[in-house]
Amino acid sequence: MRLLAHNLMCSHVRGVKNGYPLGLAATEVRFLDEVAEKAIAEQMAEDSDASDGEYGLPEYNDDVMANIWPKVVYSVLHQAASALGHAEGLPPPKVAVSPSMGVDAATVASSSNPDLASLTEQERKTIYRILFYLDVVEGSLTCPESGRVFPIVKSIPNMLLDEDEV
Amino acid sequence: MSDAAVAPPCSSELQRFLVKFADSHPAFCAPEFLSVAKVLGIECAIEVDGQPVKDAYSFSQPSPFIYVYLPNEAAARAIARRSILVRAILREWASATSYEELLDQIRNDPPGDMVDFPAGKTFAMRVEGYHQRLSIEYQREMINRIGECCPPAVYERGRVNLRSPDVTWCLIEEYISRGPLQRVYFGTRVAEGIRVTDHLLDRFRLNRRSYLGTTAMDPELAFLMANMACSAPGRVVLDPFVGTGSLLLSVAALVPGVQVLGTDIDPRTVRGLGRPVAGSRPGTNALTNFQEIGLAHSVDLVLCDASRSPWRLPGFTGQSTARLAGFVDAIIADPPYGVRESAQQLTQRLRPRSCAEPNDERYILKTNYPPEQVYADLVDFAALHLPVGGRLVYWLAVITEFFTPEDVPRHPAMNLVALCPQSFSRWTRFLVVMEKTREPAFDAGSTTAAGGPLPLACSLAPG
Repeated sequence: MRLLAHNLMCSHVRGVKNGYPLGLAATEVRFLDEVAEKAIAEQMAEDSDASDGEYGLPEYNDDVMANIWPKVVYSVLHQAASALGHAEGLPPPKVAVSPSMGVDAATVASSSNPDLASLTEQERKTIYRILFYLDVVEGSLTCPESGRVFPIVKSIPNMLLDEDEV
Repeated sequence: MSDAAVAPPCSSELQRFLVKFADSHPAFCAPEFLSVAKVLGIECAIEVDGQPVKDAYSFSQPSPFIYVYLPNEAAARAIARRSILVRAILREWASATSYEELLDQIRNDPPGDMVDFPAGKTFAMRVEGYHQRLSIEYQREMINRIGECCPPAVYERGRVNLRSPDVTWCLIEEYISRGPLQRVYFGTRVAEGIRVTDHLLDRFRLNRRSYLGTTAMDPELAFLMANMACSAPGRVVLDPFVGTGSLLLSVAALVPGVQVLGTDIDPRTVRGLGRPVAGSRPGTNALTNFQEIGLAHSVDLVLCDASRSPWRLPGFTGQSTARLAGFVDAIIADPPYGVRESAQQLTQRLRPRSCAEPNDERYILKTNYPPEQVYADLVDFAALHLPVGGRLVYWLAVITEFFTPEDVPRHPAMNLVALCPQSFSRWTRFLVVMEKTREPAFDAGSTTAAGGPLPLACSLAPG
């Protein structure tokens, strides 16, 4: 599970009102750009005729960043990266995540995010890498209200609910 | 469906091009072309009965040759790079039902790029048959006949180069299933489609994948869905019935930078724990196919019930008054309609013996999820999660004999854009394309084919 997915999910256990963001813990993480690099190297070794990069390495892209930025809650991303020990190089969020935030959609989704233009290119690239490439292989998501734990196994979170939870 | 509104004649800046489509899915050609133009921000109209129509989503004709109106050649090239059904786009100079007529046209009104052919440039002439194989001798004869009518500038100033010519003229003969010659077209090739230049369908053949399921989508149709959904870099495309991920794989492969999210209720399919399907490599799962082509950084898969998904709702964070914008730009789906894969819903606890992941104890499968409810829930989900203008693209399966247009789900906030049929012997499936027109009113439930209100939107509405 990438941190993008963590940013977009909330607890859906019946009766839960404060289900966002989900608590994140991990016992194994990896960077998917490194995985891709390895896969391409293997492919090249296997097939010497392969044109160099039918699929190139993933690259930072300003358009992708501009499109995804309003969908992401940066304070939540920063908090999740910190929980995994990978917040280094990330600019600090304008607002910390707290349960008492009384703000509207625009404020939380985009206005409270740092303005992309105000960030350095290096900062944007770091955010991009954390958002799209940092993958939780083994770990868990925890509902902040009910404490229900959802396991993440082999990069796929199991968000199936029990009969009494729906 | 609203009838294709005849737009006022296009602005005079638009130029007329001839598009040669693949003949695999004629009903899908015009809607796909318009969708690709839309996502690329290109003004576009399709010629219907001699008139340019900007909204010709329901237009279908038996011939794979369609005229379109575009701003310029760069626009044509951009669309050819994205469309899966385009084979080539040409600037037409002449077309007729017989060679004599065609040659007269070329003689009387020679192609502009032949008259002013620049010195030192190279050219090639191609002769193609549609639904007819043409012998080399025949092709050569036709090239000679055209050559006799060409302005002399071409041969005086230009050189022939068959490998990488600066200009390619095409002569295309159209036949209908081995009948007599229907029409012959002559024009300059402006662009070739990505299926021709990149061998896209061969590269994404299902049998090249390590992980396969019984209902994996044909790659050509999956690419079509990606385009109908207006997928774009940085946009989020969601598949609530992801299965082995064949739809999302095509989206991610066609559109670099798009973010794809998939959910499924069946852990055996997603995790690859069930009985392996013939052709699947052991130890693989739905993520393997993405990893193998270097696209693991574009996808997330989540196990959940499509009707009880954990996605953050627009306007909902859980923080009592905090509201968030939506994030789903498009939804694509091949819902389980019970022909090859049964629909399931969360009602009882069930733990298949094959699911022996130690850390992953919960496996619950829903049973008896009627198809009409699957479709209704899907449309409701889309009305709630999509932004205005966002698209829902899905397959609707019906028994051909009993189908009526009322069987297509409707929703007051969702407009039906296109309905493209693919017929099988006793059943038909439609590719349904819907576009959100406004935020849903939570007090008014949507209506299904049966006319009953759908409860889902109301129960999920933010307070």
